[in-house]
Amino acid sequence: MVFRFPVKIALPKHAYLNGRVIKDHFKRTQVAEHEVTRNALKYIARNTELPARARVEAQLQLTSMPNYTRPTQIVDRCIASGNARSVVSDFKLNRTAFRNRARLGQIPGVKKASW
Amino acid sequence: MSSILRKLPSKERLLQVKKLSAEIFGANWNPEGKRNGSKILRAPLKGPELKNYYGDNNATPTFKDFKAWFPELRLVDPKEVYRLKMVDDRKKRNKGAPKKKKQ
Amino acid sequence: MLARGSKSIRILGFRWNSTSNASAKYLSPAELIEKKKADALAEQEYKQDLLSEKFTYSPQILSKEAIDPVSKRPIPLNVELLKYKAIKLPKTHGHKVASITFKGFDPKELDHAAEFAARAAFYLGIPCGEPSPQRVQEKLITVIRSPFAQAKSKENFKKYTYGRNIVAYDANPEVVDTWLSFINKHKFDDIKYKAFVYTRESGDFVKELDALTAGDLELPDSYAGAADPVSQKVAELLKSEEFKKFFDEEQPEQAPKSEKSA
Repeated sequence: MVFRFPVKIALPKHAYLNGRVIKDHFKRTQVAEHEVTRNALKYIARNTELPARARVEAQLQLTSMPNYTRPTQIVDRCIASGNARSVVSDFKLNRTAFRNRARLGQIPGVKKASW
Repeated sequence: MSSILRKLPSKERLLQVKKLSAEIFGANWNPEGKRNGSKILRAPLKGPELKNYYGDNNATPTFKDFKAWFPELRLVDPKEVYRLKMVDDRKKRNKGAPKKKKQ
Repeated sequence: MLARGSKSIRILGFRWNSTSNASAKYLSPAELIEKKKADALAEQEYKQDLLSEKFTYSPQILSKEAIDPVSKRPIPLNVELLKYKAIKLPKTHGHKVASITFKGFDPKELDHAAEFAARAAFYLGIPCGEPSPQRVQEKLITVIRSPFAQAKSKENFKKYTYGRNIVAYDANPEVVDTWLSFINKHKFDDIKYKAFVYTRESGDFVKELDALTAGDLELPDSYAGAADPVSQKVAELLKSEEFKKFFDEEQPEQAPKSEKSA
């Protein structure tokens, strides 16, 4: 079987898996791997004290890097349902998954509010 | 007697003090505010935090691990049984996964 | 050697870097059994080591008449002191040496943990402040009840985070280390601990540290990351063939410019 992405990675074991979650996880691993290179190129591109041509070259290299290395492509997904909408980032859960677990008392420190 | 200075130190002198302070405390010194990209170097790396979003695989064992550790118990994962049943039902209804395209 | 503007060291205060090994794998049952046996053996050896020293059991007692029904002995003073708050030793100089912040969801557990730390400090001779309560942090999460539409009916949830803070004064670094290690050994599972250790250094701290690291001295983990990986990568890139030529080009370009201005 051919792995669906250019680089082989281990799949998460403790989260809900679906195609989109796997893709997002792959992007996260690649962003982490290439972060230093990207930051270095960005620094060269943004530093006005370096020669202009060097800055242009750095910017070109930056844009030519694959899309899975870009941090803006990463989206927080729900670890219970894989949903990317209405995810409460503190708990990594979609609003419905959060509500289900909170009502069962499975989220530490969270209680039904009334005031 | 005169604890209050009659005249503040000159701006150049104050700048020298600030420069020395930056030298002592290892801070960046950029009085003219030139765009030298130091904010990119200053920012902490967020790669490791992003990478571990879906949890650490080595944190806890899974059902598969328990099956491997205690084969004599002949453990059966009910979730996996359910999943396989659903796949089987879908196949019966001719709704199974499509054939892999051969190139 | 230290990068300018590095935040790994701050004068008059630095944080212990939590370089915990996140990828330490869980143990298999056989490994766990072995580990427990080894731990039990080590503890037995340690206890025997302690018992080999000749000592007479003579704790300080409050009164000979107060006899514990279970042990049939007078109650020791340190047990009696558990009924009261931790004793605060007087400060000798008032120099802040360490502070611990406790955070959790149960105020009773927090009080328990903070008082434990304060008592340990008393027995180690560290002048300590009283565990001071931190402001309660309230987090409101409002969520639509239904999985589809129906945005008019929502449900509120709240998360209250309580905190306690203890400040320690005037102790030697080794004593502070012992105190923190003891608290770490007997830590509560549901409480988050954050310890800050403060030191005082001279104005030439950076130079002194550079002088130290000039030789073959390995810096401890808390100084990890002092050599910025991004700066290193930048240096590497600028020296590479693709970027080098831009720096060589610059010099002949500048010469005509200066001629024009002159």
